[in-house]
Amino acid sequence: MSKLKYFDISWFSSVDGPGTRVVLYLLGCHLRCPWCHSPHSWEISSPLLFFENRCQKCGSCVDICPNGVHKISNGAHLVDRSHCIRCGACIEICPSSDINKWNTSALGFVCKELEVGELYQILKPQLDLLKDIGGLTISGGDPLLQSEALAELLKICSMNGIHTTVETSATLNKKHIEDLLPFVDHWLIGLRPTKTDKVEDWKQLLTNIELLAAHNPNQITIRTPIIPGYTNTQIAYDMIIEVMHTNGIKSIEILPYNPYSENYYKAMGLKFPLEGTQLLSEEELIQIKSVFTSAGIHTEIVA
Amino acid sequence: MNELIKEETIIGSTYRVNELIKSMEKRAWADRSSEWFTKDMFKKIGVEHPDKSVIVRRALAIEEILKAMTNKNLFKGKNPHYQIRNGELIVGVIALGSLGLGKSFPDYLTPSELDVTSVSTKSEMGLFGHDSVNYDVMLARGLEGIIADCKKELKSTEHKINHYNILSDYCDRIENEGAFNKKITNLKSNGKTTDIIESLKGVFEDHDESKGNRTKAYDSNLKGLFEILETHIHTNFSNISKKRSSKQEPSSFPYLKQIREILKSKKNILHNRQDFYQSVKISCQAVIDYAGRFSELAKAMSLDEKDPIRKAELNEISRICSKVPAKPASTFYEALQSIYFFHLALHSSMSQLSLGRLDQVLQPYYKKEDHEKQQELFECFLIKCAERLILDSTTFVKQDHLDFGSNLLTIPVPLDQWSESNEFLQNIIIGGQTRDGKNAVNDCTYLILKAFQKTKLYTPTLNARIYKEQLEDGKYLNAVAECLFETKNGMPVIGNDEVLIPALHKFSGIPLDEARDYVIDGCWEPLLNGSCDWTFRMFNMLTALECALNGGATLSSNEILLRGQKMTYETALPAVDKSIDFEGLKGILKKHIKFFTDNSALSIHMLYLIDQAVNPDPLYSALLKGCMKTGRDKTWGGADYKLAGIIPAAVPDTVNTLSAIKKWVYDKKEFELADVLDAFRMSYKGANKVQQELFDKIKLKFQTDSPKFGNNDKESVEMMQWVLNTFWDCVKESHALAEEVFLYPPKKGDEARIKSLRALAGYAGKSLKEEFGENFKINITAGMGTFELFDIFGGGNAASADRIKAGEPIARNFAPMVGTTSFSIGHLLASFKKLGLNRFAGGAITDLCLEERDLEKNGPNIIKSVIQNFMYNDGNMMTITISDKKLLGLIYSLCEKNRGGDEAAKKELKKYEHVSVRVGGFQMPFVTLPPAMQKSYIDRPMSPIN
Repeated sequence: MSKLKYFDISWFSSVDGPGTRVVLYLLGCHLRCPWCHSPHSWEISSPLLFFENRCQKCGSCVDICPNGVHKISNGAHLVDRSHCIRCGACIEICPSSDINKWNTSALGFVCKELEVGELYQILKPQLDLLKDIGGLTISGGDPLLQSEALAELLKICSMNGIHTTVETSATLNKKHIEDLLPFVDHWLIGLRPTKTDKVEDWKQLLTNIELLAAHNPNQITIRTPIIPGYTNTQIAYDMIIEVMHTNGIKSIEILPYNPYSENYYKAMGLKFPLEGTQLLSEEELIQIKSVFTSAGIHTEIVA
Repeated sequence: MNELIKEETIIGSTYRVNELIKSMEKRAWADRSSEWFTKDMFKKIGVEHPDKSVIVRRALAIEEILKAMTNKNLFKGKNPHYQIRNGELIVGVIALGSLGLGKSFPDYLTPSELDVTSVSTKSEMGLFGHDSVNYDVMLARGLEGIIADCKKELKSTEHKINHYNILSDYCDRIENEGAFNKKITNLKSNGKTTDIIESLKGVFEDHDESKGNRTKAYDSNLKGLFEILETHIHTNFSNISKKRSSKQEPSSFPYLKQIREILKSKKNILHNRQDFYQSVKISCQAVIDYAGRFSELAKAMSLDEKDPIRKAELNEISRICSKVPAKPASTFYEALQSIYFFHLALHSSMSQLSLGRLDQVLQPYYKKEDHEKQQELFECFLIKCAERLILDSTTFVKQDHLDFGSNLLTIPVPLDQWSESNEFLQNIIIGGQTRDGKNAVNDCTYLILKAFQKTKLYTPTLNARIYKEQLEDGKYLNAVAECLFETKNGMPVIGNDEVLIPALHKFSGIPLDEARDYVIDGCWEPLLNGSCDWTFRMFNMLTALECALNGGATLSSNEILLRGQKMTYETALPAVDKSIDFEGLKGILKKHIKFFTDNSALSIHMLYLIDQAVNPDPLYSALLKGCMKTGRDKTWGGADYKLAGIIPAAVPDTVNTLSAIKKWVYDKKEFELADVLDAFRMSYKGANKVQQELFDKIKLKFQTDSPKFGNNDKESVEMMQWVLNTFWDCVKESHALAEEVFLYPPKKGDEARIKSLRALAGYAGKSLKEEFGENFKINITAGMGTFELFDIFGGGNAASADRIKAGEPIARNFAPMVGTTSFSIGHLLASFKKLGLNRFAGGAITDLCLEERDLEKNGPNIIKSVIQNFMYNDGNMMTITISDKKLLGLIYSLCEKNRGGDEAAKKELKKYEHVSVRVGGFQMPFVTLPPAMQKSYIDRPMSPIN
């Protein structure tokens, strides 16, 4: 059986597909959207995360690291990831870290890798509970990057009567979508045209949407993050509406900019690209919503 | 006034209900300390009637308090108990009192009895209600029917006593004249019983002076008398004749002594019967009279009433109160009022009992065409049960009326009085199966669910039984889920019939029809419906583990205790003796668990005998199945079934700690056990840098990288299986030991050993079967939980794998320790499937807390899925509360201000009185909880399971 790489599971989500769902977040994304709230999902192998607020500044990691990645000077713990060989020694030695629980540790790798069958066993108890009122959503990263192994997982789900949803940018080769198509009940497609989009990406996206819509347009929900300065333009809205109308897609979810993603950029030693970006007001959101509803599209704001 | 209400803001189905709730809440926020009875308001029953038996005095005390409750002259002429409030349809007022605050009740023990309670630790204040009443019989027959039975029994008992008196006289005469001796000794030593009886009869005939001029009645008396004699001789003859055949030839005939003894004990039993029926009669009559005085009050008020509608209502109240509970009820209204009067009398007289299967009890009186009226009436009834609420916790200390005598254990369990201040031990249970296994859901089931949904009261506690067929029945499950979603306060509690019925039937020896009829105690333990007397014992499983790790002592950091507080036997120290492997440690732990189950099972049997001398309960026994038939009070072996639970707390903590020790000390050998124990003792605070570093490592591995119950991982599930199996085996072994020592008469040749075992326990009397008859037996059930005592229990424990400081609360009930589950509700519930929870008829209750925002969309359906999954995984019992951490934080800060005397904060607090949380045993208004407990609700990380 193939293996899947993932970085998180959410057990009780009511905003990621129909009903109440388990969400599995797969690793790896070919895009680098500046508003991304999980930059730690980008690399298919784990980046070393460092959460300063959990660090005791004991210096154990400084002593153990073979490549001098860690340095403590003037009470500050600096991490130079360029020399990191991902050996995990610093995580093992750190008194505030647990190799299995990066989200409560000071140092951690986010990557978890499991065989599809094992992974299903982990998900199963909660999927059993949510069977009648939701199901499993695969998010990421972009799940299409692991489409072959993912198809195996989704196949097990469909065999067990679990409703499946995949959230993707749909900007990869349609082969990946064809891998999954027989086992997916619902698609959440990220559609957010920006000025900097590559033409070939956009073309690929349209091809893929056509493919899915030909299958069943009612199984598609468009998701659009509203990011000030990037996606909140009338042109973008018009393009989305056109794509939806052309393909007979009837519903959209608009996702206001999430200001709480800075944390992860910091933990990876990256600069948060959207620093200082203001939250959208309630009025602005309602106004954007009306753009879509007046085009006859079922619209929901998902906060 | 009776129109159905559309507006959202109104509580209850009608304006009347809304107004009544508002008025109740207003009173609940006031200082109610002046509403309590003081002892000088009562006659001193114990002093006035020292010659009467304790059960009769108890009945007189019940009569006394019910009189005082309707005495216009008390409370400076404003007796708060004798009034009908505007709009009320159900009347009567329960005297204040609760599990935590105690009661004020007339003294009925004599001064010397009272002195002796200092050693028995059971007093008149024994608040041990904890049973559930079945009101079927009372509604069908009326209390007058029960009184009529008493009269009949009293007459026939008197008759029998006369028989025995005559027989005693004969014995005297025979002895004096020696003729009997002569005649009997002529019989051969191996003579047949019939010969002896015949000769006895002859002797009586010879010596009866009235011979020749006896009346027919006298003849039949004599005949009955001989029959009794015959039975006794048949049963006792073999022993007697064997004694005789032994070499020693009696100088005087021994039969006479035997007969006298038999007569004496028979007469004692009959006197006890007399006292029993007498006291049932007195206490039932007292309730009837109390109702009569409310009938008068309603009549008098109706005369002054201007509003014609209210006038008619008062007239109807007057009519009903003059009818019930004396006579059978014929309408829904009469049935409710009748139940309320009896409930009120019980709860005002120390017996805090539950209300049982009210949907089954009320259904025969329900009429579809009067649905709305009946809905309103039931809501009025609930308010009457709830109106003892005291919401301002700053007034609790003034109202503390508890004394030492509410203790029920030999190893004391401290009470958390504060959090129990508003616990009245009144449960209602609905749904499930009938005695013959059919679907019990009816119109009244829905009516009751709706009443709770509308009124959002937190007492009484509602429980819903569910079985397989009802999982398909969408209507019932939907109504249950909706009620949980709307009230947010955990109503109803879910009981899984598929698990609890086999637990009672297959594993605790209860007949199937009784098991199918189960109800719930004041907290959550399953009981039989109005046919059992219940008691329970608790112990702390984590303490048993500490004892196993530390040679029978707790892991205390108090130096003057040397190794620690000694609790159980001294056993080998696994930290010192390296030959003890993990299996060896488990063996030691079993010994210590057994110490506590022994203590529980033995004390359950031994202390059963104390209750009759201090806490007989004639009022409850009037309705408790078996008592009226046998003429025995519930404390005297009267109930059909005697049920007793053994319920350990901290089972999840024990599993977590044991798993961590296994993994890091025995499997991976990363730490020395001695260091781990020091870390526990010292709350992971090292004495120096080196030790601190070590403790930090232990803490990290133990707290975050060890198997924890609730995650459905193989290790924690297997450890839980082992702990439960071991506990279960210990209960069985302890039960057998307790029966050997206390239940059965000693086997031939074993008398001396059993006698000395009893003496060792401080008991010198007869076995329970000799005392209460061949059928007497105590069925023991096992369960797991903490009730509201998770805080106070944890106070005695060192740190553990799931608690970083000594004294921190232990896990609540049978739920994972907060913050130790990284998976989902589905994982917790799936782990139940492998635990065999269908053995635990004492209840293994899991408290789930859902975050309000997770339920915004699809709330009732999510709850329904949780219930279905819980049933599918063979869960035992479950509560689901819905809360909002931010809101609780806000209320906590207001409470802190109120505790500091801020009037504005108190006013603001009133807005939040409906917010309640599950406190282990019951739902409580959050505003009434002790500060430390409030804080624990805010501090716990909110995730789907907590």
